[in-house]
Amino acid sequence: MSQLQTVQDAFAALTGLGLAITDSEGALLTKPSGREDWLSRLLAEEDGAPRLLQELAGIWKSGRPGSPALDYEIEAGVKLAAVPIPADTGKAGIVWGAFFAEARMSKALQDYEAHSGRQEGSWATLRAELPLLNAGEKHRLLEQLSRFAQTASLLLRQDDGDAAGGKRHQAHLIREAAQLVDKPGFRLMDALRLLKQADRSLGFVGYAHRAEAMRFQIADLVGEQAAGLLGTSFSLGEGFLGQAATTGQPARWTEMERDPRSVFFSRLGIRPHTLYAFPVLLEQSVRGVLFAGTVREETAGEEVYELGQTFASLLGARQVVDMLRDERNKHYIRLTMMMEIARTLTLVEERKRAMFILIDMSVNLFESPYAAVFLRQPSGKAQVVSRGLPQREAEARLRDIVPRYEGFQEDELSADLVTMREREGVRYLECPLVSKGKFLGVFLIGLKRPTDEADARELFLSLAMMGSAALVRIAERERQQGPSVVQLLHRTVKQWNPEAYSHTLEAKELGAAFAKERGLSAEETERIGDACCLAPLEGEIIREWIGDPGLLHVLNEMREIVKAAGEQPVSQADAAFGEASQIVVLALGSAGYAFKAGRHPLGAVSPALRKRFEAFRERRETLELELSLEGPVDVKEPVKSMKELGLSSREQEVLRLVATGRSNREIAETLFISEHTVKNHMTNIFQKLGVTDRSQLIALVYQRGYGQN
Amino acid sequence: MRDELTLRLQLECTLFFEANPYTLESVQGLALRLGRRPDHLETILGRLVELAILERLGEGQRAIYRYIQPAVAADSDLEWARP
Repeated sequence: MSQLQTVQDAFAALTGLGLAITDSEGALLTKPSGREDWLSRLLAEEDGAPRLLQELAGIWKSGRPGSPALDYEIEAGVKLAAVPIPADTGKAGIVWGAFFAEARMSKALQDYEAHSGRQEGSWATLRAELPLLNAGEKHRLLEQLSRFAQTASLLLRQDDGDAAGGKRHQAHLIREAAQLVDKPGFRLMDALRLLKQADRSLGFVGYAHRAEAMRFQIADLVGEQAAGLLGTSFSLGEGFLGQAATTGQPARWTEMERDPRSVFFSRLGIRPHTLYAFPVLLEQSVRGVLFAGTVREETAGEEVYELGQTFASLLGARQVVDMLRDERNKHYIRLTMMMEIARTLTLVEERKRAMFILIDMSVNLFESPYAAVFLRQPSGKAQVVSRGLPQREAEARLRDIVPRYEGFQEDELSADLVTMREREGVRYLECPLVSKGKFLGVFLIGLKRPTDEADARELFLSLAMMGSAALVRIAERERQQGPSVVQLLHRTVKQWNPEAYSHTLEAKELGAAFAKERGLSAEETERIGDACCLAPLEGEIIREWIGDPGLLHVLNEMREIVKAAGEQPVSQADAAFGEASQIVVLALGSAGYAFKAGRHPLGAVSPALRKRFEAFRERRETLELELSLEGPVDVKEPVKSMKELGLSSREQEVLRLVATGRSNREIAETLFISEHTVKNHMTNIFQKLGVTDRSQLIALVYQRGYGQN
Repeated sequence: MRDELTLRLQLECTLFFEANPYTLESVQGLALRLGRRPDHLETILGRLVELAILERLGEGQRAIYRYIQPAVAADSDLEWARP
């Protein structure tokens, strides 16, 4: 287009005409040149548009399609020469050759005006200044204009070609950039290299990402001439790039060598001539600044500015995609992790392990500096499992927590039960552990960064929910499955102290029967029996294996009663210890169980309960005796039924001797075995025949007519 | 959020040591038990040491790891009651 302008200017100067070139709609393609006084009339604007020019173009287009040339009479005596620019090879257009006056017409008008004494038309003043052309001169003018139109056509075609080529190149770069940012392994450097290809005059292209709230860092750069920029940073509002980052609008600066704002570059020995900056926006926030520049005294084309903005939009779009992808991955990771944790918590059978999982998973997922679970025990005690909290601090947290959850009545967990708190400058999340209306305790995690809250809250609630469900399930399971663990432990007693085992077996039966008579619940009755069985075991072993807090409580109290024997006034016993624990002590004492340190703990049991227990025992012994003596003869069973009960041949021998009234020592001597072995056999026989003592065994043997055959 | 494999391995290792609290494992040994690559586990175990979930004994190839159990306050020591 610049070449056409040059030719047009030269032609106007040569011919002394005013020249304008428009497209077929009357829009100027070049800057008019030549006689300004003429052109000003032609180009006079009305409502911001050259009205006359556009009207003439409209008339031309509709009335004279393909006309080779035209002398258009604006008004009497004033003509406008115009020729079309051939449209077959290039852009269609019109060359307007400004005005002239026809000699013949001008003479006639002058005569008329002289005669009438007035001037005709608004162009009369101009007409006086216009060159007067006769027919031959007019023909030559139109020919000249036609030749110029031919030249203009060639130049326009070339310009069209350049523009189309430029557009094609630009479109190619945009397409490449779009493909680049769409690739999974997208590298920013590839996009920068691509943008640098847009214009050879570009010396560098780079990207500054937002490293902090107020600071941007240049971590990617193409162009050796500006290599010093790599790794440098600038603040919002600092220099040219900081200015673009502040406004969020694309900008360009030229001839910036002497601009004081270029100190950011000059201190690094870089002196850009032109600089472009394109902020990359994500949700209305500037995430980075794409920039490019020339370092010689060159100015890149307009297309760099347009292309840069497109690249910045594509990078923004890529960042949105990355953000969404990250978000999706984050949710996916969370989901899979939570599924894994849920699966583990579903399988775990120990309360302590469930608490460990809750704590360790929190530390892993939130990088928490500390995590703790506080459980409320039925005994009124607390169990605390923590990581990262010193014991004293854990106790302080417990004191802090307890009043807050007094009278807590929620049935299930919900998001509003998660609270954010702060202690000694560290923020932490706290949530009660509750499931099926049971308040179990409190779970808390410290947060590494204050910004973690929003992310952590939801996940923390999920963990608390899973933990609550697991803890309730474990508690129920422990209650249901407790006896099997108790039985296992009781069997170990049998191995190392058969006598104590025998006594505890008797005490179990006695205690449970008394509890039943007293109207205690099935759960408590079961606990009394279990506590009798576990009495000989050390506290440490029991704590390790027994999960039922109620049973642990009975055992603890039983030990307290033993300790308190002789130290505590009897009148206070009722208030000091639970009935279940006192029944355990009564049953064990009655069965002849030897308490440690030789203390007889019955003194620490409530006198009223003790009296009732003694009455119960008396009634029971009488009944047993009656049963032994009055067993109906017709229920006798053949001796083979003993075999059916699963007694071994050795046990049958032992039983036979028992039935004859031999003592253990006598049986041992008869069978050439130790007394200890006899006791073992006796224990097994008791278990297999479902009796608890020797007298019951003898009664049963005679009931079944042992030895008659 | 760290990438999926890292976090998954981190949880996997933690759960392994929780389930086997008295075990002492080298990177190679753990890789064999979990069916994972030793070079993947090395970073993970380092991370768990940083989080004080594991303890590292020894250095380099000979380093072995063991679980640090969370602190447990016995129920007989603490009361769930107002101070």
